[in-house]
Amino acid sequence: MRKGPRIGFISVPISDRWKSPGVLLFAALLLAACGSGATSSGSSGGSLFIASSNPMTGNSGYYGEDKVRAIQLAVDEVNASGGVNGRKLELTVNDDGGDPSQGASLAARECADQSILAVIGHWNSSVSLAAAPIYKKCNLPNINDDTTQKLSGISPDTFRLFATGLIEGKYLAQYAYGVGYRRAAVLNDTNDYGLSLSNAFEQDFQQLGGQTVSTASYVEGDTNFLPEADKFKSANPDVIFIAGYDLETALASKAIRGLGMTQPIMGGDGIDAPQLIQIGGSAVEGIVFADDYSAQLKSTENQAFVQKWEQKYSSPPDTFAALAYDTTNLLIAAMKSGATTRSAIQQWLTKVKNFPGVTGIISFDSQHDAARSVYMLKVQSGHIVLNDKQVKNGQVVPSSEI
Amino acid sequence: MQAGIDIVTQGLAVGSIYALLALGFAMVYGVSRMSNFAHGDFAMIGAMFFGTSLVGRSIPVPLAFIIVPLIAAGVAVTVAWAVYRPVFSAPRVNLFIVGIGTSIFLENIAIVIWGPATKPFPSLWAGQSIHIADTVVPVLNVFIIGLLVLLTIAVSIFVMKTKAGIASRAVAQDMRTAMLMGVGVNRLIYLTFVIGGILSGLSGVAYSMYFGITDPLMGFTPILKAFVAVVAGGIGSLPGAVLGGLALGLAESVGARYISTGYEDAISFGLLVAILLIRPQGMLGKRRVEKV
Repeated sequence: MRKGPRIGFISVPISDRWKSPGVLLFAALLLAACGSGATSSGSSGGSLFIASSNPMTGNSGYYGEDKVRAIQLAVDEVNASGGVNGRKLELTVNDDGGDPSQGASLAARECADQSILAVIGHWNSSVSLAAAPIYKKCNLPNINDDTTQKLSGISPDTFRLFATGLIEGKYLAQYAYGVGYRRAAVLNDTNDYGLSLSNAFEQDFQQLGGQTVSTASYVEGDTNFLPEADKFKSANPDVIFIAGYDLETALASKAIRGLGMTQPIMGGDGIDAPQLIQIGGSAVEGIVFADDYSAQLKSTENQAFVQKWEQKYSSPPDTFAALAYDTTNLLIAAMKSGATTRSAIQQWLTKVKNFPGVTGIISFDSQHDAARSVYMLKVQSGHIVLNDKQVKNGQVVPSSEI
Repeated sequence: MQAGIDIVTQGLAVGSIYALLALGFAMVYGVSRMSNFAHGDFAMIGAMFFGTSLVGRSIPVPLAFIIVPLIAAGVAVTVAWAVYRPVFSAPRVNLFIVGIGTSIFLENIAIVIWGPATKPFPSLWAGQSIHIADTVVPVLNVFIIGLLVLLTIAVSIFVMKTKAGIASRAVAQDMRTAMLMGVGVNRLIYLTFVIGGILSGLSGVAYSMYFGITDPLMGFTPILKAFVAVVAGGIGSLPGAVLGGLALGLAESVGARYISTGYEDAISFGLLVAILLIRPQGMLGKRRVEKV
């Protein structure tokens, strides 16, 4: 066995390779991972299982964690008060990475796991679209909070709790026109969410009498918005509407403000996250955006929910938490009424009318979309609050009237 | 004209970020034959650490330009010693794959330590600009471009005038012969990783300050772009790597502004494909004849 003069790059004999620190580190990590992986498969005889399929990693990871907290809160509440007709409700937390192909293979696995009665997911429009046909094949009811129109009526098993991009875009256009803007510059993400929202906004804004003076689009993950901001600057709009998620909206706002533009910025529900302010700072101050919930809504259900949430997490709940909470309670109501199979739950969901959720009164229409309200929120002094002006029946009204 | 200068300086600033990364990458490749895909992640670790652990403790922001490259160099040397050294005599393709694996590992370690969310990164000269012709250019952009010029000159002096630099060129030409000539190849390879790490770290700070963010996957796209910049600039040519990075940055900004923002990546990579079609060895590369 040949030995090199000193352990260096070109003198390590093959037989000594296994001693390399890299191999040892890898082996140690492997053992640690195997040891700590506690996959509890002990069936708690009689438990009812639901799955959360949301982005736990990747750019949308914040929202997945958010939803899981809310779902777990509802699950813990029902278990603490005797369970679902005496049976324990259990939650399986799965990760779709915010990626359509990962989401699709996850859906296939959930289909195959017969103990899962319903899926709360996904979060990204593109992922829900990829997973819906798979859930359809195995008749697994799934409830998502996405906005893309393409999900309307896509499958008898898919239900949507969020106002579609069409509705949200309409509210936003009515607000923009109602407060006096006539020239809009539109920046959109090229994914399903961004496209459906920006198209709806532009169409409705133009129908009302407004004008789109400039448009630009970006691919999610893009960090450089100076070219877009530069383009908008030369178009001189009254308002800039950004149809995308919080990170890109924050970066785009920074670029826009960095070039000295003072026009108001508007956005959609996808920016409702602390990260918007963390990254955007003063550039996102004053942004008005649409969302299906505000912690400041005054219903009794919501006040109780907000109190419980703030006790646990010391900050108010956001839209996706509230919707996930409502979704879980919908499923709990279904199961309490006796629906404990996939098809029974699906049947029950099609009949939902005027369910009192924390996000408002919820019904499902014939396309399994939610018939519900959309609210205007605003970033004020670094916090997300209910905007002082709202949209009701196509008109801009003070928030006291909703 | 004003819009033109704006976009050109933006393009040069972004291009400088790519060029710094490409320069370090090209140096490491030249000397060690490693296409180190984890090159961008060395910077990421440094930037993440500075952006999360240190920022809260009132460490002056300019120190980022020292701390982040040092951390990046440390990570680079550690990875070189623990992971690359044992597989060093493997074929280039194997080394390439090891580089990819290391990149994935570092990215996920960062996710485990700091979480997947993007974090804000402090910037210097926020909102401050200087006047060039009749337009205003952010000071940070000028600084980044100046940083590239400085480092390019420094690396050139190193490679041409210092003993270690000349030895590096010898090793890049023919490792075995250089070893026979008495060059301390092992030490030299570590030194190259240190320099590459420092360059990567500087690129990372520039990136994080320019965009105001840092996240575990921030090294992923830039290293792809740096790799393409090196190839288009000419493999084996350090000035080529710098030129390739600048060209890519300019193509991105100009293409995004005047053609279409949604297609900016397609435009910039398309340009590089065009460069390679016209000149397969890259802009400044030499036609290498395969020795049999």
